[in-house]
Amino acid sequence: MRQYIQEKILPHVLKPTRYLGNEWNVVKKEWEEAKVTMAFAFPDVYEIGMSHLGLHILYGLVNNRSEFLMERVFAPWVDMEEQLRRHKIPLFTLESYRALGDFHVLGFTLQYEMSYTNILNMLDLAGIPLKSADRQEGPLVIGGGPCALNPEPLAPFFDCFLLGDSEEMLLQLLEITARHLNEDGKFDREALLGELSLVSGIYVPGFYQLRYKPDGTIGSVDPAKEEVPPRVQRRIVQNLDEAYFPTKPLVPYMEIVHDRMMLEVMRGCTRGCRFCQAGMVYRPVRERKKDTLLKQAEELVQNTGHEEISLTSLSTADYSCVQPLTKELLNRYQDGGINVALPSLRVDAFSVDLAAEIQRVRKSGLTFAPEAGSQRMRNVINKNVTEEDLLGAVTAAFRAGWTNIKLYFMLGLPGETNDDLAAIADLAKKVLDIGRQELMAQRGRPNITVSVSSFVPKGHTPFQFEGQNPVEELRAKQQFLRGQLKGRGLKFKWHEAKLSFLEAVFARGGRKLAPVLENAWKSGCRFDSWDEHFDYAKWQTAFENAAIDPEFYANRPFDYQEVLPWDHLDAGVSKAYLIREHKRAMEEALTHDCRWDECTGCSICDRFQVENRLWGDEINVD
Amino acid sequence: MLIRMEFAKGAPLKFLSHLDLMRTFQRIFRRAALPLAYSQGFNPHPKIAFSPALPVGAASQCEYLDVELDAQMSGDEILTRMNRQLPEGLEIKKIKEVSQPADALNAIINRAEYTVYFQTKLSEAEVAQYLEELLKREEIIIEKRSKKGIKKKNIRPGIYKLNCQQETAGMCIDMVVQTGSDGNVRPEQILDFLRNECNLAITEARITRTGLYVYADGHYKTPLEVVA
Ligand code: SF4
Repeated sequence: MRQYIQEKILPHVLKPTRYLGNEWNVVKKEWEEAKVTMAFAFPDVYEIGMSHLGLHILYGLVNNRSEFLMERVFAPWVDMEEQLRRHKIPLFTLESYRALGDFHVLGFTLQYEMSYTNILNMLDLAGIPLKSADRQEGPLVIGGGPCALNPEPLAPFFDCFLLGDSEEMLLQLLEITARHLNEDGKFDREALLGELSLVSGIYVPGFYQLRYKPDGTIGSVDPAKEEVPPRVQRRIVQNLDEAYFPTKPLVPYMEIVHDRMMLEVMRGCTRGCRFCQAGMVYRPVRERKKDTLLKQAEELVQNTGHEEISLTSLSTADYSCVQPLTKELLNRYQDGGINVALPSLRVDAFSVDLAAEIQRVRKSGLTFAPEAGSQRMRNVINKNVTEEDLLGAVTAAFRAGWTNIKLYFMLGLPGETNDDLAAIADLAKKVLDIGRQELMAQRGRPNITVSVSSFVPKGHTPFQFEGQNPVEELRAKQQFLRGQLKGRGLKFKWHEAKLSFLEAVFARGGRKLAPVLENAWKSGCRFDSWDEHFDYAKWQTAFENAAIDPEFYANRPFDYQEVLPWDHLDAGVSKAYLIREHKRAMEEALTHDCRWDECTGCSICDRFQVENRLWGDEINVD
Repeated sequence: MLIRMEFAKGAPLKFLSHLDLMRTFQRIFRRAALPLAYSQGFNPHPKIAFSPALPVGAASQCEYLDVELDAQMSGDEILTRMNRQLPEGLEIKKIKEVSQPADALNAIINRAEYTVYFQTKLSEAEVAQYLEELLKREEIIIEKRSKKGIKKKNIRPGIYKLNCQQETAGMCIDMVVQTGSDGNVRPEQILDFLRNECNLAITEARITRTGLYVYADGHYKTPLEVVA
């Protein structure tokens, strides 16, 4: 099969390297020797999927166990899909070029709502029935990742979902699957799912019944069986420092989005931005020790040959040992041509100093995310940063030699007025002015890119109750800003409003949306997050055919009392806290970061037996 | 010290672009912990130079690269260290220390030899006839698409040899063409011409580069021979 595909098909597709699967550090196991086989599926192209740290973690974790085997598959680009269909070749994994249907478990990672049609397409390309109910045979189809915390639009297509950190849970799932396998390699689905549903963190959607109210909202979600828990709790790795980390990751041949070594310095963020799902669903903060990271870096350098180490997390400048760690990494590796990068910067001078220490970041430009233009709006979203902070940071940046500054904002935030919008433009112009002054002596010219996305309300955040601005309103706001941000040195970028709208529909939607996904996929939707493929007309027809009003999900405010599609999934932060935070947003009141201060009562630590775990103080002691 | 290497690139890595290949070698060198010399400046990069790019999808028995090291090291040591880090599809064939400064590979290499296997119903004599006719022409115009639009180019002066032979694996054309900074003729261009202008059905062409040469004064020398 491998030879056939490489000789007959790959010469005819764009970027054949996407499908080679022969990367350095690839794990190829004997199929017969593995008790349980799993395919890890990323519903987007290779370049995006391979940049995802979670893939490398699970790939290493599972393959480290002799009785398990994990191979990879990515969404084939449209030209490859055409070839597969023409040659009648089922979608295959990269390691052994085996059809997905041959595996015991097929796991999709759910990173982004707009990749959902790709999932259906991949199942179809593999010849696997789309719906769990129609699958008597074939792999157990599972999903994980952030969108698994509201997977309801996907519910009929999946057998189960893994909520939260998957490290421990996935191995458990594979062990249980192994026990359920018969001599012929098959299993009794119902029995297997029954046992899985008892594992903390595993959600079997088929075991829950929904009742709806006449107005279309949910009346209740009830377990269909007695032993199934009424609410499923997310899993959390308590001690990240001791958690598995892959120091022999796959090294791709082709250029991917993040083509570098990744060091995960911490998980979670407690700054508490009220729109940010990651900030709510990855709590609490769990750091790795500096020495652990240094050791991992050393192995990564030896095993990959990459030229850059990136310190990843939601907000790396917040890592309590970031300065000593960066310094040490630079000392050790800079002479060997290895650079250190901080992908996420805070809006303050400390971050700029840190970035300035790492000389080579300079070329690429710096990005800051004030998110909102006015102080009032920043208070609403709980972005604890002032205009002074931002202006101080950009001054430092220009002084240190950067000329390209990117500013990220969101529009359509709750309670946004024209003044708040105008403040975005004002702020950008102030940054431009500072740039002109600071760069005058150096004969440089500042380039400010203002990148504006549309607010998408997400589940498990304080803003889950907020409706999104209707598309026309978002467009009008984009137009307004575009008018304000014309001129030399300013560049304005915005996101397609209809795409943000669909994102909101599926982020806040429930099970009734499943037929819409299926319709949209059938009419040809795939790679929806790619401009060249996004076709809203098809989506519109899909909604109409399923008799679904998308605005009911995207634009309607949700009542505090309403049963939301994800309320039976416990991400850790309590609904009471989300409501309280939502109310505080309306009062423009700030909530501090519990990492350095007292608990603000999101309730996860007590209920989940976890805590913020920082190592910075220990280092300062010795 | 400056090292010149001869290496082969085969399946499955024949699909790697030139850029992918360069990146891959940088990573191999780093993993092998060779003391790479870096350029000065803002964005230091290792000093590695490659022979002219190979068409994507073509295999090669003889690619070359020059790499500068900061320290002295024996060829055997370099080879042992690198062999541990080579992915399937890459093979280092020879290593030679080069006295500096040497002319850049890209500047001195001017001839490439390819063998092309393909399937056809024609006999060897018939294909030979086509090739002969092709060589008789004074102009072979191909269209090159670039950002500025379509450009016409005469590739005939860059074709030096075209021989065919029926073999068990299919029809085989052996060709020598110009390559390098003064002009580049790609085997696919010749095949396309045979397909389109001569109506020669060619399917499943498999291209292998079998030689890269420095041609001067009527002599073909390999990049390793010129520094001997
Ligand atoms: S329970 Fe308290 S300390 Fe723990 S994450 Fe929530 S707010 Fe922070």
